[in-house]
Amino acid sequence: MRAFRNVYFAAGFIIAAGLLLASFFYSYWLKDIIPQPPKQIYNEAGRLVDVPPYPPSWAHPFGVDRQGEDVFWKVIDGAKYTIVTALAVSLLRLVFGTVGGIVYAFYLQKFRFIAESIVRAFRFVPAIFLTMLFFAFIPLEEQGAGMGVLIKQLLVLAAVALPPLMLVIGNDIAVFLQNEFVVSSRLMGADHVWLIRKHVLPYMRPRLFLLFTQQTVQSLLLLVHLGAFQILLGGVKVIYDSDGLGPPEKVALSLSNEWSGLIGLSYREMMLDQWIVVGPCVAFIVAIFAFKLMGKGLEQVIAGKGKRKQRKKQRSSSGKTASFPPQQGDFELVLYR
Amino acid sequence: MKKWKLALTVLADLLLTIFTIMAIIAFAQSYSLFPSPQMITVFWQQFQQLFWSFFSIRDITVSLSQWHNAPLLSTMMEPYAYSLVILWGALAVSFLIAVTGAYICFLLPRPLQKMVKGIAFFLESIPDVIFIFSTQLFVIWVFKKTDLLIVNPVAGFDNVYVLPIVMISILPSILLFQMTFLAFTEEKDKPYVEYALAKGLSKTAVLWRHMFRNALITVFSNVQYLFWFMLSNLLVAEYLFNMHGLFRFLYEQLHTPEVVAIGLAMLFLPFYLIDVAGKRVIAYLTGIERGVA
Repeated sequence: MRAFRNVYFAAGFIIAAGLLLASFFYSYWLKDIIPQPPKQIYNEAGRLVDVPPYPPSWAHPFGVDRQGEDVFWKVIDGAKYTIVTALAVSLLRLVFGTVGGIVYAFYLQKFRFIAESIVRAFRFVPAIFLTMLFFAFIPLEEQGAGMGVLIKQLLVLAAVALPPLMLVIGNDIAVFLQNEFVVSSRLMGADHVWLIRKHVLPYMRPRLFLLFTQQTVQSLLLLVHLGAFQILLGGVKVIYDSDGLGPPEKVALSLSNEWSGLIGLSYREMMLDQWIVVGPCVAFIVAIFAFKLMGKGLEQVIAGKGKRKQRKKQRSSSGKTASFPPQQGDFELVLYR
Repeated sequence: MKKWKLALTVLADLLLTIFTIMAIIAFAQSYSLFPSPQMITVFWQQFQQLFWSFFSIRDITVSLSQWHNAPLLSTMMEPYAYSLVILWGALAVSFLIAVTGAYICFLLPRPLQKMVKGIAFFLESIPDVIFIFSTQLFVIWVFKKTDLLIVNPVAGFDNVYVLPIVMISILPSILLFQMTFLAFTEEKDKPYVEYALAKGLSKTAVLWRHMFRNALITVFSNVQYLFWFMLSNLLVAEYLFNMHGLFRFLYEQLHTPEVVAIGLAMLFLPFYLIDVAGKRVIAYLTGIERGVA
């Protein structure tokens, strides 16, 4: 909770939480209130001047897309899917990563050499390439869309970054275990469970929070990449769209307004009406920035920078002039817990 | 004796990493059968198949189109060389940008330094995909306004070098800039710097002759992270810009696991060797090897 007093953390948290809240607020309540953008725009003389997509304006800050929907509200609607997905993925990574890291630090230190080369392979191949490898062999269309596919995909997203995370946590714990108080605790007969409960977990807790924000940034980046490679989470709905000329075109629709889906599906709009793609991109930047701010704040809290004020206060209290010979008021009663 | 041991560790390291790459690919193939026990047999079969394919590397062919098959090695050489040139170019460019940037920034007054650091922090949260999107848009915008095509943003058939190198080096160089700057600030408080300044050496001289060298060692030891970041940038750039590089080639051959495994192994090989060599050089420079430190 001390973290909330840090400016960076608080700012990042407010942005991220604001996005999420706005998103839920929108889809349960605001959706019915906000009017749809007009299907045609007429000028004063009553002549048709424009049909969707409209460029950004004051009424529609991110513009209006080809289906006549306001991109800004689409992005807000998609925020919850994207952010919750990223949070879920990083939570999965962190849970398995911590368990793996503890096992590695306690039991597998002899195999350090092997672990490092395995992790090197995972780090070397870009995460998005690994994800594509996995997704290339999951037959999406056959199984249809649904929770089953989504869960499998989330597991893949979590797994591609898991080994490096395990190694990072494991190495951190292994270094920590060499502390003198841990060694003496061991000498006095503490078993592994005790060490984990009393030493490792209290030490790791703030660091795990930091890793959590960092992993969330990583998963958001992975989601952007998925969007660019037009891989959709939770499967796709394929509709046949005919413009009256030529054979009907296959158009994939994302099942939600998830941001990476918004980017991936309208990638060809890049050369035509850029604002349709720019909206979700801006949203991604804002979300990543928010989580990075939180990470920076946590780093400062862990490094103890937030304590500077307290320390100053102590120093000033100790600097007060003592009378000679010392009086009773010069001493303070200090309780050691 | 010692050299033999080193060579052996390097070789073992290399083999293990390549085995892991193969295992990942085999696992990816069997993943669709996820909860069933069948998965393990499929995984093992695929792994063996991948393993043996490394020995018959000359016989593997890739299908370029429905009717056209070509031997793998000759087809892969061209995109491989192209990707390597771009990666090395980008690595060199980002080194140049980052080190000069950090050097200049270090000489700036403090409030400006803070501002530059803030900007770098914000720029870092822009995903590479979006960055590449926007360069593309920028080139087109310039073309529309001035009728001047700086570089062809969509490569097509001829290989372009300048734009991709610049593009994939910008974000890594921001990362490297931050690392270098941090190394400088850490170096600044060390006693030898104070001593040199007290002796009357100028700030630039101290920075250039002494701190720079020491900071470079920290930077060099982080260069593999930079390289990994650059690889993912390259992958995205090759896809979005239609470049004919190795990653694009692998992306098209994603369903033939042997090709993917061999391609990744080939990309991994030179950079691992460079990494090992770099570590030796650093060990020599810091004097650990010579028993100085």
